[in-house]
Amino acid sequence: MVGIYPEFILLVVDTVYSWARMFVALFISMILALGIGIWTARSAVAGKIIIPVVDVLQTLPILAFFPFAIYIFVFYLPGYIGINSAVVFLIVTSMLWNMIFGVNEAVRTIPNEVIEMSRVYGMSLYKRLRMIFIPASLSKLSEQMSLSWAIGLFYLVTSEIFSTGNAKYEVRHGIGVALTQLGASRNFPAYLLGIGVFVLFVVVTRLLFFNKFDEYVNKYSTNVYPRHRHKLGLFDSLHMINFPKVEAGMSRLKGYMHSHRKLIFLALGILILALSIFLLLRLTINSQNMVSKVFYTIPGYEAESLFSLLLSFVRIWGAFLLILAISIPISVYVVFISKKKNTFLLLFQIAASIPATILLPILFIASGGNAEALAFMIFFLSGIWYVIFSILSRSKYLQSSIEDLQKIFQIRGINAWRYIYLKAIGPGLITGSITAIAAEWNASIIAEYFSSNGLSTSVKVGIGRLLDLSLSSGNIVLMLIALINMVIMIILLNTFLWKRLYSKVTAVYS
Amino acid sequence: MGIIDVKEVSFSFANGEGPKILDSVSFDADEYEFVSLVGPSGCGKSTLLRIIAGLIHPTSGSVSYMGSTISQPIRDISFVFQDFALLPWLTNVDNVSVGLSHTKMNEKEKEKVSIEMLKKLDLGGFEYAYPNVLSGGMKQRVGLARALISNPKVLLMDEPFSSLDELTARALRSEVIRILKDKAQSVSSVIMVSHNVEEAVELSDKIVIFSNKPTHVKAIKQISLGDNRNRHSKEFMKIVDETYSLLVG
Ligand SMILES: Nc1ncnc2c1ncn2[C@@H]1O[C@H](COP(=O)(O)OP(=O)(O)OP(=O)(O)O)[C@@H](O)[C@H]1O
Ligand SMILES: [Mg+2]
Repeated sequence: MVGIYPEFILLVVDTVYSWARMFVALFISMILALGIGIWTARSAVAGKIIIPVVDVLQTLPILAFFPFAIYIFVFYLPGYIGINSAVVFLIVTSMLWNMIFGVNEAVRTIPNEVIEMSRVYGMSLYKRLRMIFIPASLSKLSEQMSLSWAIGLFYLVTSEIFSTGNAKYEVRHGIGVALTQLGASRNFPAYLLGIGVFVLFVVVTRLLFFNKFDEYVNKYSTNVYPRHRHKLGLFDSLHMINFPKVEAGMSRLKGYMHSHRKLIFLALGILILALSIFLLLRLTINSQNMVSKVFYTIPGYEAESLFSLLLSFVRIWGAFLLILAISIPISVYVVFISKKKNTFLLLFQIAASIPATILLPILFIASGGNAEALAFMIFFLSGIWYVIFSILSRSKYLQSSIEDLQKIFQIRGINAWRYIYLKAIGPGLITGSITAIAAEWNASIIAEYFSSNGLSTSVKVGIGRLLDLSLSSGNIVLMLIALINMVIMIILLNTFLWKRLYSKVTAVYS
Repeated sequence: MGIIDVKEVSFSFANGEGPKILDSVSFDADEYEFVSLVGPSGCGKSTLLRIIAGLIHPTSGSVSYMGSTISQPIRDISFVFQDFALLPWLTNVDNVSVGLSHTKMNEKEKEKVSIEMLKKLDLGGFEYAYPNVLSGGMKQRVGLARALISNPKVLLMDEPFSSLDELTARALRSEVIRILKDKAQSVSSVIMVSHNVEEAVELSDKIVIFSNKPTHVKAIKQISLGDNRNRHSKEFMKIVDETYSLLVG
């Protein structure tokens, strides 16, 4: 036990490094969210173009872009700065979207008289920002920030772990790196201590930063105009992450899909085109004769990407089916049957605050080194909380009379499942599923392939593995093709499966 | 002895530790009697109705149905909710067949009876629609259909008309009177919470008037108007006035 004390100091230092990345990303996200949120709320054109794109972006598993981001950043900013910029960039892409929506909504709901007042007094743009738009946004922004923080943690840890074991791209200091190395060297006391330190930091950050910020901001903004809000608890929203935003996005998208369908596909088209042009530019800069070589190999890359995608799809949806089989009964029990809802909630929230990817070393042992089993476990753990929390958070909108109804009309057993439980959890289940599956895809860059001294795993074929290997072999063309395939598949599924299902299920709510 | 006997019921929340909401409340509902409970807002009428339904237990005293104490909801007692309490994800037919959950009927039979009941309540054509397309009055008809379909002996209604606009409420009250008179149906006693004295006088044989803090029975007024009550008749208005003065006095 002599070794534990210095270990503890080192772990704290590593966590401080990680938290520094998080706060830098949070700060950047706040600035961007305020800028973009206010702009899109005040300019009809900006709103029409940017908001649908943001909506699409927030359902993409952007973490899968990490290998690509690392490649770009390290290419232009070699070494320590480049890799850290890549990590911060990635965290920003996980935090930003819902914060933009929060600000946008807050600014859009500013009473018209206030805007007119600013016109009457001829306020400058700076004054309007400082005295109206920003103060009015802060409350919503604060609420969304704490959601963003939770998903940002998963991105942080996963990108740190991803970089481990690759000398060229290693982050060096970070709790994700430290835990993976401790786990790989089988120093389990220190490893568990590290997880404890991580959870401690999560709790302390919430108490000392988010709760305080929220309090401050609400004192400040209720003076602007009153609004209803609920107080954030210790773990509240810790892993409630995407589904409020996905839910909001869904109802927005229901509208957009009718009126802006073309616009969305246009935006996607532009995105893909931009990526392709970039790809071509890179190639022509590198060498002329590579162009023909690449065009020769693209069909092969495409086939490889599709095949990898297919196998990953099977794993991810397989894990997802198990998630459903377990999370549905658990959620139904907690929502409708258990009398100790809050105890369960707290337990779940603590468990969920530990990103699944951090458990890699333990899961490695648990899986007996079987790469498929390991990938399956990571996928499962990455996704399950989203489904459970989505259902639980949605359940507060259920009528309180349901319990009375059940007792009066003696709705029990199979009837209760048929008439109440399975139907009532529908909307939460769908939004939870979308985020769960996105989280699984995110985890694929770790789950399907990982290699560091002492700890390595690799499935035979899979999109996460393909992304990882194309980075380490510098095959950027293959990486881009794989990414584009994945993005298109996810957008198609969201549009043709999830959105339809969601519309169908929620159509009956007035 | 009535069908429903409320005997010296007292109640406090927090397992009897909280402030007293009901203080030794007693009254009964006889066979073929329509009883209204009126009293100041927040005095505990809904709480009392939930005790009668067996949803919560009195801190002391008891409620009995045909002589036996009610300790949990029973089939013979049904309930109509103020906010309708329809399940939004079920079609109207399914919402009604929820009222048959405890029976051994198969799905086909349940559906058939439920459709008939909806037709009786003028909701033909809306069987397979969802509640969100219905107006407030129509939703409460579905709520009534669900309450009546299991042939209950006692119907408890908690402000069943107060979520509706006055015109709709009036139409639905006549409907309820019509249904309760129908010999084919089973309901013999009704206990209704109301905050509307005219409504109570129009529908009831007996009005139980509560006073506040803690709530006890202030007066019980028998209404001896016959059928087809006219809200504008002298006697009707006289009884309304008397009830008001009992309520505020
Ligand atoms: N679950 C509860 N816990 C504690 N107090 C409660 C609870 N439910 C109701 N109360 C309190 O009990 C009192 C009686 O409530 P109840 O709803 O029975 O009154 P009511 O006469 O039906 O009022 P209204 O006319 O508004 O419908 C109120 O003061 C209310 O605040
Ligand atoms: Mg009430």
